[in-house]
Amino acid sequence: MKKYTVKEKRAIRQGLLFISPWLAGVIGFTLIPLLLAFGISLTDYNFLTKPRFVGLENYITMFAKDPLIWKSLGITFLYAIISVPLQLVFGFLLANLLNQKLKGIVAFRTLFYAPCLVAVVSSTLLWKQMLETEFGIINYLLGLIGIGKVSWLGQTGTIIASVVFISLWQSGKMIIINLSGLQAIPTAYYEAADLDGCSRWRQVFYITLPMMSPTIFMNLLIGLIGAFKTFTQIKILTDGGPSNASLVYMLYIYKTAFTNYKLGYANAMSILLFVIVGILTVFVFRTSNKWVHYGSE
Amino acid sequence: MNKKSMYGRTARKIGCYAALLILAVIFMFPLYWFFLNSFKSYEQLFQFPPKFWVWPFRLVNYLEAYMYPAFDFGQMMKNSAIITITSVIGAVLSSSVVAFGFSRIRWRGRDQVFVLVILTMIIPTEIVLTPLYLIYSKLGLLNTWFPVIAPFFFAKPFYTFMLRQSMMGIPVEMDESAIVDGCNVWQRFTHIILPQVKPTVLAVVIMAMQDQWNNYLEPLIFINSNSKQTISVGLTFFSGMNATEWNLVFAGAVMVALPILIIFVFFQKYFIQGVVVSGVKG
Repeated sequence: MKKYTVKEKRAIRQGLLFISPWLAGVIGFTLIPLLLAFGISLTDYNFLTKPRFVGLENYITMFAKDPLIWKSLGITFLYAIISVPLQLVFGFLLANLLNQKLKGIVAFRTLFYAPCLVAVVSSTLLWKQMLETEFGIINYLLGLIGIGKVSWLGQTGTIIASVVFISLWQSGKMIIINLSGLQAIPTAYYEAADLDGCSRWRQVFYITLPMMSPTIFMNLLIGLIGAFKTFTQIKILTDGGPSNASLVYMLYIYKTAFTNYKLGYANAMSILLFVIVGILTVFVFRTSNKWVHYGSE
Repeated sequence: MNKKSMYGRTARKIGCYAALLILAVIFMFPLYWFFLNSFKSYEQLFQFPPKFWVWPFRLVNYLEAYMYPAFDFGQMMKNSAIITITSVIGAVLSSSVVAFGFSRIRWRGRDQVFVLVILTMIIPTEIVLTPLYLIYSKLGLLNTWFPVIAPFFFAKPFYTFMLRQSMMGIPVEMDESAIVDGCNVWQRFTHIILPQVKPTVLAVVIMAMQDQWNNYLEPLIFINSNSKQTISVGLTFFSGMNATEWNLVFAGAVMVALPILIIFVFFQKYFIQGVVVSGVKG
């Protein structure tokens, strides 16, 4: 191993000093709680009495005796599979539209960002009222074009569709991230392509998409993990109902911990979520070298 | 430039405007509905067919929401404001310091450690909520603002990431000349680098403000007394014993949304520029 020079050592010390807030945060707010979560997951614990060690019992219950786990995981996967691609495509297309050199484009950017300034609680309450079966504006508007009343919050499929729509409406952050990715592409590339007589569509496929792939990759990861921790919207729209038709995984964890006070079990569920997210992340990273192009770096 | 491509260009522009306008109407309509609902009476909210305009406005909704007997609206607004301001200060201080350490100091292993920052961005904090709950209850910090504010003081990954990206774009010569002038590392941070990334700092201010002001899950779990609760949780308290008082919900929600909307309108130019300049990418 190479010996460090005095200068190098000083640089490392300085560097670590500057990043120490992050380091402390990761240890205090992620690492220690994660270890603790694993510890609690091996116990039976209800806040009041002392935790009782039960080994892997919670995990066995989870895999063998609790159909709700699979149901809620199924709903969550379904939501992820529907929402993530839609978010990516929509975010990409809209950002491209907002990246055009047009008069008033800044006003449009502000406008499309605005919905995400409204608290998720408020926006969800708003949509809950708009989606109301009998009096809601959505069903009224659909009625105008001859579509009968839909019970939006009545079954899994339409609840997922509603949440997808709300999150698309509030995807301002993703649009902005895409926009910044687009703006980082040197215009010289497009000018060269223009000179070569390359059509717009080909430019999208041969310049924009490859140059945007690191941004899309980031959005894919953030979107995927976001989908797995969906909570607030469902909690407010349906609270998991009717009869667990929209019980997403995070809400099930919340209810297990804070309604039923089964902490050991809730933590075993959290660990499972951690493992699932971990596997997905590794999987996405593995495939990424096939389609994500990093520049000269 | 020949005539044909001129026409093509105009047609494209018209197409873009048309798409933007249609989408804008779809995006703005719920916001319009949001504001309009806050001026409707309870009966008007559930009238069918729905009313696209009401007059006179039922402004008393706002007063009734503010004076709602079940909880102290003003107190919760104040709680949210204090929590948000503190968190924004913490977010800017901690993430800019950490971003500096990841961009302007060359040290071995720096970029490998930075990959970890991106990874922690991916770990859902929701996973550790119950263990954190236990830790806070042991430390006697439940039902205080500490659990809600604290994470903002430890360089949240996304803000750090944005600031780091924009600090990376500053030419090295700026540090070098500062070193020649006898600046120490801290002065380089406060006097040279930080002023260069002002737009991104502003973007972080707005994002942190928005994230904390609208935060729901953490106050819901860690705070359990109404006198300390934040207004984003408070909004769900308009559901009384019998039914949700929807007209008050909307008046309350508008009051909660307004501060952020106003600040955003003031700073939007810098905000969108700031994020765009920082070039958020992997």
